[in-house]
Amino acid sequence: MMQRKKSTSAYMRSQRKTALFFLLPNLIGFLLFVVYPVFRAALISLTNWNGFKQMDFVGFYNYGALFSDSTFRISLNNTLLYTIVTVPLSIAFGILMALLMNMKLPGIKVFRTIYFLPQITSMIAIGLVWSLVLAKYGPLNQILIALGNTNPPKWISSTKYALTSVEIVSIWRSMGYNAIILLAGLQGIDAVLYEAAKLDGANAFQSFLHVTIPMLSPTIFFCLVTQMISSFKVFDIIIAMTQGGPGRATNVLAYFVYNKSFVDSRFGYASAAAFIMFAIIMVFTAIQFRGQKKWVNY
Amino acid sequence: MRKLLALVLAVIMIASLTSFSLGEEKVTLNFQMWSDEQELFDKLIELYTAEHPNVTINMTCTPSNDYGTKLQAVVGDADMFGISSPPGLAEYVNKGAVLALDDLIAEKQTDLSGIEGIVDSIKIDDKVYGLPYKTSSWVVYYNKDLFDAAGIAYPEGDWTWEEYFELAGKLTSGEGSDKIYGSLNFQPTSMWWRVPGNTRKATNPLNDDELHAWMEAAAYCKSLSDAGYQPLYEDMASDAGADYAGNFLQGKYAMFYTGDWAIEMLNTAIRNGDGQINYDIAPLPHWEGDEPVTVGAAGLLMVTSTTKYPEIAYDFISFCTGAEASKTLLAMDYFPAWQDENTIATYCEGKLAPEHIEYIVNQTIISQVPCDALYNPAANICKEEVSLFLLDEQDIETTEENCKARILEEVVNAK
Repeated sequence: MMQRKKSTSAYMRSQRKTALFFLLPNLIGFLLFVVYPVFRAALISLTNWNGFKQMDFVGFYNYGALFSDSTFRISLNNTLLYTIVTVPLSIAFGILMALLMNMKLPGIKVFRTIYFLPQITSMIAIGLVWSLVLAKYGPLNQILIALGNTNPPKWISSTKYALTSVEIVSIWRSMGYNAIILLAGLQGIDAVLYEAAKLDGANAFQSFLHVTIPMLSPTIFFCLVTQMISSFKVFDIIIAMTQGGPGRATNVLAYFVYNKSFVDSRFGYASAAAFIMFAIIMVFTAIQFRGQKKWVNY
Repeated sequence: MRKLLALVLAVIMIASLTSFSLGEEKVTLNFQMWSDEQELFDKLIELYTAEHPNVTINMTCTPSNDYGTKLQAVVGDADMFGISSPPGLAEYVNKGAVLALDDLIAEKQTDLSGIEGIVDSIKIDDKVYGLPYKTSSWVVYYNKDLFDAAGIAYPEGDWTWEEYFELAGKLTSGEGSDKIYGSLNFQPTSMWWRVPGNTRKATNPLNDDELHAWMEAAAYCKSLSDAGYQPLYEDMASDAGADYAGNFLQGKYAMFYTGDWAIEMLNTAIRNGDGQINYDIAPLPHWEGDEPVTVGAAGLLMVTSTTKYPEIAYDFISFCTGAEASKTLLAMDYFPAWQDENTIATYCEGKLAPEHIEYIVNQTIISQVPCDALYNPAANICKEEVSLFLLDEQDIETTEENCKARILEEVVNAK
């Protein structure tokens, strides 16, 4: 017995070595371009580094100062709001789209491609086109006026609707991507389960709720985690559409970090903000991983 | 015998070393610049290295949008670099990345007579850190056809912002898609609204009275929109990156103010048939009772504090900013920082449009941006707050208070 266990672990060890060997190229990159910069940023966040010579140790001053910085507070709020709105909606729409795309309809493959297109389109182009769509006299408001809305929103030129505008574009962009991932999940569900549900007398909605959703839960969980992380890091859509404005209405954490570092040259301060962002993402992801035990079926 | 041979060889070796170092040392300098200037500096480098065959200059050009970010990373390895406005210079001086040039200027007895004014305006703690090679100058562009149609005389010479407002009103006509605006404003990413304040020499929002003049300027710009003489700011908000020259070329706007760079844009577009308007330029207006001035920002060249060859790097930048190089700049339609009696004549020579091209060069130009490292963050705060005012979301008093409070908190007191 002992003999056998030992030989297994020797085998495992050699397997592990091989695995490590194959992982090495990626691992080196990861260490060099992710782990090292993260530690370095942690150190920088304790200094007042200006990107060149000046680099004095200031302890936790930056972290304290951040919480009395009104722009930081606004950008943190905006980021949370943005995440709370875009993540559930882009996944919900993604599921609906995946269900549609899973139907055996003529030409459905064309639609699958079309819905995925926003994901591979340049954010700058998307921003430009959506800015036109959302313009005061743009097509969207024309439709609203035709529907009887006499005072349509000013979208990205008002602080009230700017964040909503960005959220709409973001959901529009990511739902196709989610749909493709979820579609793969859908197609992995065994038809036998639906058949069994049908025999048990379940209607379409019941089989969706009790078969599709539980069987899809690992995929939904994957989308949830990746979508949430990318929501917290949102940057490109802001640059392309609003530059954080009007005023600070769409200022988000990543944009704040960018501004403080590359515009104002306060790398220490910006690193501290980036670290807070990192901590928030980590906490949220950890919560999700804990929560998954309750609802994700493997 | 062997010893003798060794000795001879050693002597030859030492002799060859000395003779090598007696000749001109081969030097390679790294020069960081933004891409718009590539053609100009290719030419200037060619001229300089023809005279100094031992010097090789490696210029790296980065698209202007990314230049600021990239320069932060590479300035330590460069010998020389360019910057498009004085606050950027102040930032790099603060970082300790720029060499003070005063000793070299004195030692080489460099002639600064043609650029003295600008050099004075960019001194930091009374030291010269950079030399200007080009400058710009703001004027009013107007559509002659629209003036003719309205039967209004062209603006010429001295005029005031009050007169600009009045003219804009007279030139506004029509409704809906036929509407012609008297004045054109820019998209929210620009800070065009501060320009009427600039002509009061208010260029630095870190000073309360200058900030106040900016607020008055913003209120003036908003009053043009409120009166219907220019589009509402909110209509421009979704127009990020709007092409103001293109808008002007459509003939829907009678006047707008911007820098001399628009001449090239307008002329090229008209030549390519993208617009059939007749335009001319007038000086930038001033406020009643003020002296007429216009604003401009100088393009600057610096030597890094980390260079191994400060003298040669300095020699190159003083060449590029001197009288001789100014001829090259003029030939390439640049407005050189170097100005003497020939500049104005040469600048206007052979240029057919606009008719009054001399306004670009014969006005008193003050620097549009102060040589202050805190300018950019402070100006960004003003941009954010004023955009709320222009969108009618907060009044001008609140805007001014917010600007003051935020500049103090986020810029002045920030470590």
